[in-house]
Amino acid sequence: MSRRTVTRGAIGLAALAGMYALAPAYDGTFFLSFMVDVLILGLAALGLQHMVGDAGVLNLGQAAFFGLGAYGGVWTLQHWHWTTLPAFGAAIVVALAGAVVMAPLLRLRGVYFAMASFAFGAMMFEVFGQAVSLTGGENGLFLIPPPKIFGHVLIGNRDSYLLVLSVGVVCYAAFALLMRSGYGLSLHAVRQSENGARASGVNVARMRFIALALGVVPPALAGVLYAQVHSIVQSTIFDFNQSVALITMVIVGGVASRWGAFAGALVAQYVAVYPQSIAQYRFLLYGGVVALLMIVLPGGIASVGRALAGARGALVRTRI
Amino acid sequence: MRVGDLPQQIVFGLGLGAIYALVAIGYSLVYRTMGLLSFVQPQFVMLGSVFGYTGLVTLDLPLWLAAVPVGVATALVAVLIDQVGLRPIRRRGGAEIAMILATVAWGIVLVEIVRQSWAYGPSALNLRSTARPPFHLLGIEVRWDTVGSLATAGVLAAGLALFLRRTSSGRALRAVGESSRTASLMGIHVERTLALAAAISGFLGGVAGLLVGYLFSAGISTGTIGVKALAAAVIGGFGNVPGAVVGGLVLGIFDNVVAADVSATWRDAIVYGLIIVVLIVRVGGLVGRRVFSRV
Repeated sequence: MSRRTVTRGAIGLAALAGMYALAPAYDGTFFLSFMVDVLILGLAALGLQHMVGDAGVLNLGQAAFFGLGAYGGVWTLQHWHWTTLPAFGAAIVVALAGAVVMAPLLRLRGVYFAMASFAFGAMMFEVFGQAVSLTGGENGLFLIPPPKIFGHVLIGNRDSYLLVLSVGVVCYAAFALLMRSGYGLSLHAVRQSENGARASGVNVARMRFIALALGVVPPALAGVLYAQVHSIVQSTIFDFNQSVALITMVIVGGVASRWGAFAGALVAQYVAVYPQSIAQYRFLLYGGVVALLMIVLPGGIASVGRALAGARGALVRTRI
Repeated sequence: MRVGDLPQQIVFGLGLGAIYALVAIGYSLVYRTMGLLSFVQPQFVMLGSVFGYTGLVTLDLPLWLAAVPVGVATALVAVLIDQVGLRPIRRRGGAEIAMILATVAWGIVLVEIVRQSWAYGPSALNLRSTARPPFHLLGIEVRWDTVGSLATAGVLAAGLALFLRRTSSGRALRAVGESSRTASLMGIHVERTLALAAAISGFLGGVAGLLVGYLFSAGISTGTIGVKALAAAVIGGFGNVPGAVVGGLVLGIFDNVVAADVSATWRDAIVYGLIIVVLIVRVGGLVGRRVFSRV
């Protein structure tokens, strides 16, 4: 192991320990509830980061999978009285069904796929809003039970935080390992040169589909977690603005960076929640900040260190 | 579904179709010249509707006189956004997603500025009650506002076609649409031409917004009509400017027939589904030649 790997591992572990230490330190505070939402959104953004950053699948409809997971999981919670882990399974199945519907669109590239995925997200938003008997529509589904794992009911923001953080860590580690496997290497090859990868025997279409399918898993889990933590889901949270917010998190965090998804979620959620004194101008600020970031920091937060070190915007040229 | 109503629904749909066509031209022109899917385009409709309120209600201008200042004001905003928000990214050769996201962000900024300036937005700019009564043609009811919006779209589309073919700026635009690199080697000022494309798309979006305000209502939520117009651009072949006009009319009719005869609740879902179907079946659009490139 190189010295750099050891250093990075140490920093990662310290950060992780710090994240877990927040739970007892801020038990019962608004800040911890805020962090629960950051992690839930970060999860959804993590899946999107895999699609956009690792596979070049520019998905503008990620909120649809967030919603599919939420509604799929909540159905089993409310009608079949399942607990959280089996509900995760149901959410993944429903989100994967959505990915299968999206699969034929994957042969489109660039702007065309962006447009098609946008249309998919907009269509699913309409479906969520109108299929009231299944989703409750804009009024939403109420009285969703809190998370229950191995017989333990998790109530209060400390327990919610620990659960959401643990799910986040598992997903993060899973994607980190995946990207080191043969699958990750093939994906890397596809991003470098699609024709080159194809000539080396990589099935590009299949890689893109697998990346999409894997990328819908974290948002599906995030959907269930959101529903159980808030005990309500309304269709309005799965609109185009949510898809935009998620892709903003990925880009603001740094498209090539896995932890950047969570950093982006932190920034976006902070702007959305904290400026109480200028609450009225929150979205104006949000739009302005994103517009500005696209100009001054196209590589995202993860590129700040590199930019300071003098390596000029390598991420700008990352092919998307 | 009563078949006898179909011609009537088609005629009603044409009015909305003319609006879709104007916005779709903007989408296609911007994509053709900048290679950009612009999500600020629908907000030009919103802006046009609000400027229209100022022109028609506050200043009490007649509709035909309001169209030009509303269009020009929206065009100025479009150029401003292009130069301040998009040009720096373009110059750096920024990633596609950065450009798309920047347009989304500018769209949010526009909506929020209007929300702050006009409170929750003027909501009733519907002046149809004062309009002339409809006339009948072959037993079909035709409203004057349908005729008006069709005429407006027709005049603007024809004007644009003439501009693109007969003037040197128009030819420059077409040249940049073919290849901005070659165009710049031929001595065309590419940045100025792109600003012109932004101005035209803003002008058309603004006028479309004025019509939206006149036919339906004005306010911050009218951008959704602009978003649905994306389907028109796709039907016409994304980047195909004449196709966008046809796509707009087709979408207007489709939208209206679906709302009247299939389901008013599901009309938007069906329109978005149509985008997906067209992109899967024929990327080049349902109008004109099959296109294989740029996919």
